[in-house]
Amino acid sequence: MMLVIVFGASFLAYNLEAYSSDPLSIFGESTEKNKDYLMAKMIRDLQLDVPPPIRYFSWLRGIVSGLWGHFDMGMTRGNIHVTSMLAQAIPVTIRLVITSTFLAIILGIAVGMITAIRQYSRFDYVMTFISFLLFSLPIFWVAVLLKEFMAIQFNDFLVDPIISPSVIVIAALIFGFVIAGFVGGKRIQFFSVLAGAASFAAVILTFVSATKWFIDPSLGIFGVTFLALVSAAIVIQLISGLDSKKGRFTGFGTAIAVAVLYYPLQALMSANASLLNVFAIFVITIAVGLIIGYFVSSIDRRVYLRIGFFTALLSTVPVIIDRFMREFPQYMNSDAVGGRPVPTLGQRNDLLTPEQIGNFWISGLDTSVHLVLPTIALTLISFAGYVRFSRGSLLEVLNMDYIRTARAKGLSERTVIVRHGMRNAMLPLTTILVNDFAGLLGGAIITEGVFAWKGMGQLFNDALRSYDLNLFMGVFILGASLTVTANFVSDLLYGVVDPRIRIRK
Amino acid sequence: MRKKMAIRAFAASAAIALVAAGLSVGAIAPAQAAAKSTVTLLSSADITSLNSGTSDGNTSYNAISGSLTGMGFSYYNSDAKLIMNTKFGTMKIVKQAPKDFQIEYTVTKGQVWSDGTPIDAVDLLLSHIVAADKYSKAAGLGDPANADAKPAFDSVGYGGTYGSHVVGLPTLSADKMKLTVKFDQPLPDWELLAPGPTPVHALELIIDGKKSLQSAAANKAAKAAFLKDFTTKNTARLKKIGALWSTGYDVTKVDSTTNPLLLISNGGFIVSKFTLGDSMTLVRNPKYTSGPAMATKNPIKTVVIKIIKDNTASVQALRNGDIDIYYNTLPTGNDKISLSALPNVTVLTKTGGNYSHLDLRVDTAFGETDSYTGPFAGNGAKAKDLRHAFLLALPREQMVSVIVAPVKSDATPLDSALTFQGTPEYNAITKASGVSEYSKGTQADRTAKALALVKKYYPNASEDAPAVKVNFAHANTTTRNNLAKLVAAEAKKAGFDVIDKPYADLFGEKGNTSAENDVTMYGFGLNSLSQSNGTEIFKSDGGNNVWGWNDSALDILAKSLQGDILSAKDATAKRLAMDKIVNSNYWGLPLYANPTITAYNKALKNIKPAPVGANITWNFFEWSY
Repeated sequence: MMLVIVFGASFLAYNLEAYSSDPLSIFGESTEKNKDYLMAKMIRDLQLDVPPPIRYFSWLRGIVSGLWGHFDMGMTRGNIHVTSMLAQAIPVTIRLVITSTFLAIILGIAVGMITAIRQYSRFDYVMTFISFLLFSLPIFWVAVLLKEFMAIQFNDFLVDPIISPSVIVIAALIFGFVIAGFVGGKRIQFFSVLAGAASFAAVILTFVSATKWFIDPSLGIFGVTFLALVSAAIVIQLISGLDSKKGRFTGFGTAIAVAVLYYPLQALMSANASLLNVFAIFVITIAVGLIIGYFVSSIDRRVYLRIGFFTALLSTVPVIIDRFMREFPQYMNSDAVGGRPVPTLGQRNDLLTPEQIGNFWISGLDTSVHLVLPTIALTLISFAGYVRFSRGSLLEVLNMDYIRTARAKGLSERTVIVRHGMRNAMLPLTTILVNDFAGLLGGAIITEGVFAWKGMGQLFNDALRSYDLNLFMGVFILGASLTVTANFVSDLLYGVVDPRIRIRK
Repeated sequence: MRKKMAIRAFAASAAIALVAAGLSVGAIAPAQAAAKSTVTLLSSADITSLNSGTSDGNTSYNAISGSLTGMGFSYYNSDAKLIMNTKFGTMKIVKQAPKDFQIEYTVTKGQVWSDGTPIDAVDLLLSHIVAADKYSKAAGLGDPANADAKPAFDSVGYGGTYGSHVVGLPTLSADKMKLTVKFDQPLPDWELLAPGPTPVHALELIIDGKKSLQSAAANKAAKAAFLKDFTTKNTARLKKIGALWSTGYDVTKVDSTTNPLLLISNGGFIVSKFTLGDSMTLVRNPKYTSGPAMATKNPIKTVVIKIIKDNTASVQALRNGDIDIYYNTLPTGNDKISLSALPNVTVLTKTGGNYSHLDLRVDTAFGETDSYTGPFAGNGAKAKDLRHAFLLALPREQMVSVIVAPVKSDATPLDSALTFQGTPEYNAITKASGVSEYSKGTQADRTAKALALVKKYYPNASEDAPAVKVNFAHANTTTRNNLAKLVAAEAKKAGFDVIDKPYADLFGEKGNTSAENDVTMYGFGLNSLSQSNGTEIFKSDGGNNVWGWNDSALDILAKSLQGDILSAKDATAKRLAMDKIVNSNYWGLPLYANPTITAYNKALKNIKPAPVGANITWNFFEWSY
């Protein structure tokens, strides 16, 4: 069945594309002396004298030959194998969209569920407004704004990174309102949180401005410790609840252990480190977390191992980020970057010297700064959908009878929501998630265009524009097969995650 | 209650953590302005090949890198003048008889390829293989005109002037520094037919499986082997070279694993890194002597060509310093405004090599079956008067002010399709060709004259009762649609009822050739400037003449421009005579030369875009900071 769908879709797509444009029309405005020869050559090379429905089968032959090992998607008009074009574009697209997809999913689901728990609160209204706003923004416009303010203006700002007092006040107030809205509560609580958060932000911003932190950033041991403790608090609250003594001990213990390891771990992060070193650091800290979890617990061991594991994982991230940050001044002042570290487009800086590329931290930093804007743009756009969907889904679950039963039998609110509510609310999301991941490889045509990344989306766009049928079909067949497969997988997955659905034997 | 507080405390602390991105004080690094030596260029389409002689269609983008990595006998400068590059070599006519026309090419001694191999006339021979259909056939490499099979060298050069007129094999001098090519008739544009150099030793080495640069002796032997393969027409080996030349240079990336033999150059730069669709990096060729010397003060050491297809993105990239040179051949007024607003760039507007034209059908287009019977058909007095009237009512100044002036404020309508706007020749021709009638007085005067002409045949014609129905075909783009509105509004005042027919695909749907359409408007592009320029448009059997234009006196002039070697003065006289015929027949009018816009980093010096040829990169040797 799946094969029939893919076959039918590819036949239709091939013919639609073949009939929709005429590659010979580019010669209309040409004054070349050998125009006749060039036209005859194009007819020969693209087999324009063969009707498209028949031409389709010569293309299909190459695909079917894959069965006996002679898989052939044909050549592009530039004489390059379609397979190698795809091989080059797929990693680019994945690099572009993977971070933003994960970010959008995690943030979107988190925010969506919080708004569901606090239905009709100020926070809910504000987030509903924001998500509808983001939902309706065109990405090319978001990209233009991001480039103007987060790249061009920010780079200009870095020349003399002093934040003016008025900006500090406004930013602090905005931050205060966001936090206060997030915390909610009665009016007096709202304003006290607002005041607290705003003054905290003001202190931080003044500090950042006074020390020119932006051109020489780092977290240092204090920042790392602080972030590790915060991550521990989040993990504990989600897994065991903050009132569990053993949970607190495991989580905060692991966080402090990571902070203690901050200096010893620097040895693993020299200039010629590699991804393997980073991996090793995670292995070490996670081992520490697991050991703490193991020795703290006697019963319910899995819960504490989980706390140890996730706390170690999250609190190691600042350690790594800190290392990247400390390379920043050198990166920013290099000839290749010339003091303007945030680029508006591209995947990498082509002017970095081989030594700079050889330095894991510098090349990593380079890749990251190039990812900043597209990731923010894509996250903003796709985040909204997840917010709305998970909010609706959790609200529906929370109105179910079994939630009332769970509350009636005296389970803590945390257990009711995390264990009985959230888990069931995730069920309908699986279908969307699986299809979204299949869609990843389709690329993001517009985003890739405005950020000049040659991924699958641009490949598709170019193929359409240049009448490159083989390339067009290469992208198309990959997308079609993935979509069909994803639908199949999400059907299967549903049977696994939802005990009410079982596939009949 | 306690739990609720806990959740709140946790929420607040988590949020605070987002801002408190850690704190530690570090030393402030001093910002420094080191002398820049790199230039990042914009390319608005993919560079698809390291060999621009093969790939379909978009050779102008491959020519950007091609002009940095290869120098030949000549190049176009910013005034669209063909400059002879004597550092590379010289050429001269050695024999000029009606059936025997010989040109001698001399390669300047002392030049080397980037791998150190001396450059001589043997390096010019590949040009013959890829341009002479006869050689391809004789050497068993396939007939380029064969509709079923590609020739071994899949070249875009076949079927042209060189291939149709060359006689026999080119002959080498004893010291191999001179090459003489014989043609069967004098060719006016012989300077444009000069062969280009190819590192033929590298081709030989690669087909023999070599994957690294070789010794001087091996290079010398390989070059000798090529000469032997060429003269003996060694089909088997030439076929291998053809396959390499046709597809071996179409790479998806260049890095340290790429065969360095593919990258050998005689230009100012060598390709060092390339990712298809993303960027190309070129570094200085230390052995470059094949062209004018590089600037001595702060010259460019590295060139990056960045592929950005989105126009807004390129403008912002220029502002942020991600690119140094922005170049656009289809700019709009908005581009000019946004570029001029950038504080760090210089903006240049110039007349480009492409121009727009509006033409009237007088007869059935060549090869079409529906015969043309519209109001402009034939050469009777009525048809001529109506054509004259339509052209008089063409608001060219208004069209220029709407489309071109926002980009290039001093633009004027183009008055001749046979010569380049702004040159002394252009001024001489347009003064006398009769075209000045269309810029005399105001448009209102001219439209009134047009209405009078129409009234000769339709006494009741007026703006409210247009008498002559005219179908107007053009591409369905914003620019063309805006222009068409102007044309229709003004023509109506002269008694014409213009029926606007925008085509999504003007050429694919045969909108330009259809007998239904009386008027067409589109563009023509120029890749080179030759003596025969524009003749194919007006000649009765010309490849671009789709309006049924036919004038025997003009055909004789066109044939002479195409086939006789004329002095500049004679050529100008013949072009003037041609333009006079075109104007007295009221066939059509050129509208305007498309402007181009260049914006570049203020710190860069000597950026001089050229209207034809390699556009931006032709004078890389003069660039500096």
